[in-house]
Amino acid sequence: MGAIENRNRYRAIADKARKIPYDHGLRNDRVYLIGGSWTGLYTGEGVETQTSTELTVYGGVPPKVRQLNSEQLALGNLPLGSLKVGPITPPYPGGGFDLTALGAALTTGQTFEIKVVRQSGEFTYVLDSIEQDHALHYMLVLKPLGKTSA
Amino acid sequence: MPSINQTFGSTSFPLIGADVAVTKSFADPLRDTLLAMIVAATNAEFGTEDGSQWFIVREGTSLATKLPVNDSFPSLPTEPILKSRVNDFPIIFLDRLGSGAFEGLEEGESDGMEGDSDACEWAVTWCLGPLRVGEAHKFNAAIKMIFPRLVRLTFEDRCHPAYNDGAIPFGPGGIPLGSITVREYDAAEIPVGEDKQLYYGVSVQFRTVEHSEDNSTGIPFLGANHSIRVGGREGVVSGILDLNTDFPRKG
Repeated sequence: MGAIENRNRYRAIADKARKIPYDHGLRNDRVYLIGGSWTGLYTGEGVETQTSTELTVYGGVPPKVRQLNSEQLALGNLPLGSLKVGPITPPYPGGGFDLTALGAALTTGQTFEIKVVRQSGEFTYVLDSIEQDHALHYMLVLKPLGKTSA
Repeated sequence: MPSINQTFGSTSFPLIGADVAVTKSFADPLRDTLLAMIVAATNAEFGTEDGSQWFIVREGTSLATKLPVNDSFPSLPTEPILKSRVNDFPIIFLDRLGSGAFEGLEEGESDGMEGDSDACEWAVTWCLGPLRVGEAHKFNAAIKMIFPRLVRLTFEDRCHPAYNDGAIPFGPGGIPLGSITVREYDAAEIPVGEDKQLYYGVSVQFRTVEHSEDNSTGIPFLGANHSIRVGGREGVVSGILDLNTDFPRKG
């Protein structure tokens, strides 16, 4: 078995393990990738059309959402309320989540935001960075944009 | 019910719903006109054809398929816009800075117009995006020297042949604009966000003066109460004269 096949096998195993907390009722937050486009000349003008894709791990279940503590905020130079989402499994045959496909589908003038639905309400975030330093997962770092509902 | 019946620069009171029915955004015609003009002028001056300076310089760089201006947005280049909007570099941002001064004209800005004036500060930013070191050097003079001068010459001429066939869009029948002065520029790596990702670009600050004038027709006079008082440092003596016009009766 080649290196790529091995990597994909490890990704599949890791991805299945990421579903276990959800099976025990420990994943209550849901994450949606929101693409926005407008009918007007400039972003924000005219009527907006939104596309929403839920970010999931194995079995279509929500990923882990962590609130960063004060030390992580300070070291990462991030504002209060920033989140880290993941681990998300990169694509492998039969699974994983391909973020690049979503980015490639967006065109000039469209917007990309992330909505996190928590028990306390819905919140909108801007994607700050993607940590891709692991072969079996990546993490999203989100900065708060505003609260969308109570 | 709207009660102001006056034009102030390109802001026309009363605010009519039909004016924003298509864009569903509050309008700033002066901003949109200046943005469209500088986009057209920048593309025209740097060149959009083989053999132009832009086409020769861009070869082999990450901007090899790009025009001098590929995208524009009437706003300031804030972090949320740079991170959540899909921007096609090079991009021009243009907007009011949000600061200004009523009746705050500087020497030489008076053009004899009557009425209130609003001196408004603006910035136009030409952002080439993240560039490699060698690429940044290629575009260095365009950022630090050519573009600021291009903005000054275009705005202070109030027109450019590449925009609107060279017709001046300001003045009677067009966008009201008292004066426009290009003041200073700041060419630098633009730090984006807390991680200070560097986007190369230049921001040129300028200032406009817009005047107000009464609209001749519009909302009928509905009546008013005036109370004239006199006073000084010690206080106000009220009730010297009260005037009440008749308000139209309902029904």
